[in-house]
Amino acid sequence: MLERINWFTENPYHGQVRVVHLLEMLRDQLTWEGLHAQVKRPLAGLKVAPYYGCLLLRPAQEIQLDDPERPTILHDCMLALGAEVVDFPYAVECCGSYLAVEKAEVPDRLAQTIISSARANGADCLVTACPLCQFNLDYPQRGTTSPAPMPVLYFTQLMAVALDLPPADWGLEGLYVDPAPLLERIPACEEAGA
Amino acid sequence: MIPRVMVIGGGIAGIQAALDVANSGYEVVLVERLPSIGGHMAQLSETFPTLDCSQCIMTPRTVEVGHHEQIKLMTYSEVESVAGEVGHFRVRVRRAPTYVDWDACTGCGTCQQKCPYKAESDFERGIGPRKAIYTLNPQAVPNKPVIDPDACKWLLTRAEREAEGKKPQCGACQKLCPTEAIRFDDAPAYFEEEVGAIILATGYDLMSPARLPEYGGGMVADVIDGLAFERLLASSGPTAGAVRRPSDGATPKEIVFVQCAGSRDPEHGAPYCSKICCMYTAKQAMLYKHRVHDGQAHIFYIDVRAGGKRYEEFITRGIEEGTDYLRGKVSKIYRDGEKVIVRGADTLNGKPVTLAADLVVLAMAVLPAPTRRRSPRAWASRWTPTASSSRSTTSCSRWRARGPACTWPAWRPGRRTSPKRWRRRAARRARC
Repeated sequence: MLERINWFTENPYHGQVRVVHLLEMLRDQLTWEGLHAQVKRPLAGLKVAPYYGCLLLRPAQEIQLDDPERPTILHDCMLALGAEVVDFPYAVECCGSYLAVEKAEVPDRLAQTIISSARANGADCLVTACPLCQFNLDYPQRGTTSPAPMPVLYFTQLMAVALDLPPADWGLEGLYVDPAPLLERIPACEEAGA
Repeated sequence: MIPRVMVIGGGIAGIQAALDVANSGYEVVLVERLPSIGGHMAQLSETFPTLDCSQCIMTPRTVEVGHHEQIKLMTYSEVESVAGEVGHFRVRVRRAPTYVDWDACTGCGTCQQKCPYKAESDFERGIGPRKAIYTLNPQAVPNKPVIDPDACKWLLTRAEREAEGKKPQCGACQKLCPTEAIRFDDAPAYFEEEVGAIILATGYDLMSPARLPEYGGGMVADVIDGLAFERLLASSGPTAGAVRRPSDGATPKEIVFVQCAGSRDPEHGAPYCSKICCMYTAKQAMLYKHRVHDGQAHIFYIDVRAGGKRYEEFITRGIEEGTDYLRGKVSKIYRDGEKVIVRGADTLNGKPVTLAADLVVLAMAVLPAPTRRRSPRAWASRWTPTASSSRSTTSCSRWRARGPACTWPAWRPGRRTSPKRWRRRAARRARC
C-alpha cells in the first residue's frame, strides 16, 4: 500500500511524521495550566456544551487522543478558558458528516436532537473541534427564531475571545447563528474594565 | 505426602470442596479473603430455576464448615506465597488485622449497632452502607466483626491525636464491648501451612459497569449491575427486599435489563458468553414482577441460552408472567430528567427502539476474580453510583484507571502507536 502510494505521489513517505491535533498540543505541550495562565478575559458565566463528534476520537486505537466514549479534552480546554461546562448525552454522537451534501435532512435531524439535548441541559452554546461538525450543527439553525438558535463555535474562536485577541481575528462572520449577543455577556477583560 | 488440603476461596464452590474433602477424612485449611465465608452466593436473593432462597441452601453448609473438626477456617486471610511441590506445599498466609480479638468476641453485635461511622459497602455493591466495624451479613460465619481502618475514626485520628498528646476520637466500640474484645493495636499475622494439595476456588467478579461508559456505567446512578440488583431483591439487603432505585429511592415502574453487557464483545475485553446472565436476568425480571405488580420488565438479549434442566421452562414462565423480551443490542443509555433513556435496536422488526426506564440493570460480563490483590478490602468493583455525573478534570485519568483488562492500550504521552507498529516502522527505516 505504502509502496503504491509512494509510486503514485513520487514523494516518498515513511510514516515518520507525527501528526498532532491542536487540542493535543495544548494539552501536552502548553498544558491546561499554561493556557489558563494566558487567559485575559475568562469566559465567566458562559455555559458551554463541548461536542466531540466522531473523528476527533475515532478510530480510537489509532488516534488515542482521549477516551472515545467519555472524553474530557474539550471539557478541560473550556475549563481552562474559564467557561462553565455542561454535560449532555449527545456529546459523542455523529453530526451526519458529509451527508450534508447528499441528504441534507439527515444532519438536520441529528443536529436538532443534539442541540435540543444541549439546550435541555442548560447550555448557552455548543463548542466543536471539527469544522464540519460546526457547519452541520450551525447551518440548519440559519434564520430560525423559535426556539432561539444556539450558537455553535469552533473551540479556537472561544480561545480567541478568552485570550483577548482583536475581534477582527475571532472569525465570527462565517457563522450562521450570531454569537455576538452571547459573547457580549462575558465580562470584559480586567485592564479594560479598570 | 502430607494428607492435608488447602482450599483457597470460601465461596460456595470452596465450601463444598472443603466439606467433601473433610468428610472423606482429610484435614482441610480453608482460606478466605473476606471476614466471613459465603462469597457471592451470600449476596443473592433467590436461585434459578426453583426460586429457592439462596441463604437457605447455603447456611447449613457455612455452619457445617464453621463447626467441622477437620476444617481449619482462616478468614480475612490471603495466600502470600506458595513453595514446595505436589504432595508437600508450604503456603504462607497473611491474615489482615481485624482489630477485634475473635477469641474474646461473642458476636453480640453491640459494636455494629453503636458504631457512629459508616462506609460504602462492597458487599452491598454500592447500594447501601455498612458501619466502620462490620460483619458482611447477619448469618456470617464466623460471626465476628472486623474494623475497616479507612472508615474507623479512632484509627484514622490516632496518629494525629497522639502527636498532640490526646486520646484518639470515638472509641465507642471499645467502651461498649461487653467482653473488651477491641484491639486497636492489631497487626497483620503470618502463618505457614503445610499441605499436600491445593484447590483453587477463587471465583468470579462482575466487570465494572464503569468499563461501559456508553451505557452510563459509573455516571448514571440508576444504571446498576446484576449483583447490585440482587442486593435490592434480597430480604437481607439494604432495602429489605423492596425494589427501590438508588438515585431517589422511588419504586421503578419500568426496568430495562441488558444482557451481554460486556460479554460476547471483544471490544470490551470479554469475547466469551458469561453463561449465567440469561438465567439470572430472567429470574430477576420475574422476582421484580412478583414485588412490583404494576411494573414492566424489558430484557434486551442477543439470544437466550437456557441450557440446563428446567431452564427453558423457566424462561417461558417469565414470558408468560409478562416479561418483555426484545431481541437486539443497546447502543446508548443516558439520563434524561427522572428517566433513564435506553436506545437500541429491535432486530426482529429491524427498527431502532427507545425506552424510557426508571432503572437499568446491566448483566455485566463475568470475569475471573483478581487473585493477586493484596488488600482484603480491595475486593469487588470499585464503582459506586453517584447522583450526578461528576467529571474529573484531569484528562485521560479515568481512561487509564480502567484497569488492565481494558482492550484499549493505555494512553501514554508521546507514544502514539502500538509497539508492533513501532517495530515494523523501525524495520522499514533500516531497509531504507
